[in-house]
Amino acid sequence: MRRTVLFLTIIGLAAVFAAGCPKKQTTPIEESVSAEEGSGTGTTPGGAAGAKPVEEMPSQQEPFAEEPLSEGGGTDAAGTKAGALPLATVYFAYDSDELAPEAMAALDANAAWMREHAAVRVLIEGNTDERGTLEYNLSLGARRANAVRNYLIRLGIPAAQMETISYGEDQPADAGHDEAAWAKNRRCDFTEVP
Amino acid sequence: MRRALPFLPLLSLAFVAGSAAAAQEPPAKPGDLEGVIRDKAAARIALALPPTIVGPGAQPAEAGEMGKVLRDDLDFSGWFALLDPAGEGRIPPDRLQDPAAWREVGAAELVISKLSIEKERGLFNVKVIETGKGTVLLDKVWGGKLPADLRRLAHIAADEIVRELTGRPGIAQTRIAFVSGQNRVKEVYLMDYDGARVRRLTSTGTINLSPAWSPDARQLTFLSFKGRKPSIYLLDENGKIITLAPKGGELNAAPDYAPDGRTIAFSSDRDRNSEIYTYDVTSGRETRLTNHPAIDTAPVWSPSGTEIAFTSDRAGSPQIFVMSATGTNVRRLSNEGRYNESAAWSPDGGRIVYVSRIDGAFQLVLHELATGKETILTSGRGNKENPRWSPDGRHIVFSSNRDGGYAIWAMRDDGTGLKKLTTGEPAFTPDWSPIRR
Repeated sequence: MRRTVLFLTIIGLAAVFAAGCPKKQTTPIEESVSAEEGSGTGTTPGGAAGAKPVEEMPSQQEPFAEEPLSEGGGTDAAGTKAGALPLATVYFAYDSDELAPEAMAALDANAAWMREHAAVRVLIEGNTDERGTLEYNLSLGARRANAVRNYLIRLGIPAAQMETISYGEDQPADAGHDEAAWAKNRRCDFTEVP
Repeated sequence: MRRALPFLPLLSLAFVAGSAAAAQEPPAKPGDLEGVIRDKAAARIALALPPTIVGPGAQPAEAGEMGKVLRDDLDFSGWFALLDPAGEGRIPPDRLQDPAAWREVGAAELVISKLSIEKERGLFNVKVIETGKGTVLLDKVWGGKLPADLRRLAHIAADEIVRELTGRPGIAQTRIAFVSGQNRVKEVYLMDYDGARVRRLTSTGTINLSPAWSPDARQLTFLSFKGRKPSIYLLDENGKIITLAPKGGELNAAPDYAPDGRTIAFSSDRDRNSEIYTYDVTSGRETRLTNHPAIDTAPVWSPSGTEIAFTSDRAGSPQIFVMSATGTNVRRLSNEGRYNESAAWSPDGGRIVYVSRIDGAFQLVLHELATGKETILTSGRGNKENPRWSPDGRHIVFSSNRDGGYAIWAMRDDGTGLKKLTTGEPAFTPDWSPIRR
């Protein structure tokens, strides 16, 4: 039904096009809108030829509460890490959680300190370089932290003295984008459990 | 074997220039990628979209903005070859609303749009006319508040035009969730699918990652470091964060909402190794799906909910695997390259896009499940990561540092139409909303 009305409207308008009248008065849109203007809210379906129901947008019920976009928000907290301990950082090869001889030597020294400070609970923080996606790197960081934890357990450190966390690639020690920076970022840091 | 995409810009140009070029395209050869791409381009509808008419009460700038949003929507949809709005230099200005004039320059369809304003209420009238016989296929008026609803009005019209001319749903009203921020603070954000109207959804002051939409587009599940241990949460429409209660683990990560709207797949290292689990939001019941000493993470559901693709390094380096939703029938999907991860399953179920390290950079690869054929979708500088599909299965959103810092980018699934959606603070892990019913 509506189609028919529109079709007839168009035939009429096509004739107008052919006559070459100025568009201001002759475009189909002009006509339909002026017809709609007379119909108040525009929700009344078709009366006069060319009148169309206006589909009203739902009032701005934006799903998800909005907060204004903060300019320059989310900057790094500068300075030294909270809970820093005199324990050596250990480093890893690319996409690896294996402990190299130097890493084991550093962990031997860390274990000695932890035995002397049995009351200090240590958080082992696993990190990766920036290459690869965030999800995989979170798992890889966790794996590195667990490799360190397992080694320390073998050295006699009680499991209860340790916790682990992975930051994946989100807390680089060096913000650079080359192998020198990446090598510094594939690491486990040691802090006091907050 | 993988193939890179053929060089496309010239091809697209030929179509926009006129229908004559399209007619000369060789017929697509089955199974030939280039043929498929050309076929797709050839199928584009030649569409005329002259400038939006400035109706009563409207300012030229408003009508111009409206027309631009509509044009961008129709262009990015990939369904249309849009003709030059001025009529290819062959249509006099007073005939720009004349279907016959557009027919002469090769347009199959003509879209006439007009913006009028009464007080603060905008009326957007859109007419779609087939240029051959002058048949009116669509003629509608949408009303809304201006300027607040200006972009939404254009998006609604664009989706209606797509539906009318293709029979398929448009995506102009969809949105993209992502995270943005520096290393130690990343919050969840939301934006329109074209990058407009960015707004922040969380303010935890911690790392948040991997937002993923519920199938009804009313919730997001995401990873947050807001608690003592990183774990998965829900964010509802009112901005309220709901704590999910998986039974523990040092790291519950990479959540993905199942098509059933109640199950979330995620990875957890509760056994000191990353494995994939499902969590039932209504009952709290958990099921372990993988059991392997390697890393298993980044699960994504198939659209049917019967299978899950994921990343595992059980073969010695990260690769894409597929298993049933109960964890059985595990098989390897990616076979080329040493480092493949971050899969996303297409809404039609037939394709998986994932990240692959190629010549030192991370690129997107499209894997067709029926044939095993792979196509490299991206090339050049910088990494492309965390791909996700648009709900129409014709577009892919991802994060990339191809021009410097990380930002959200989107493109069509044939690698064309690439555009950057975010600027400023680095942005990561996008997810494209389903179409809201």
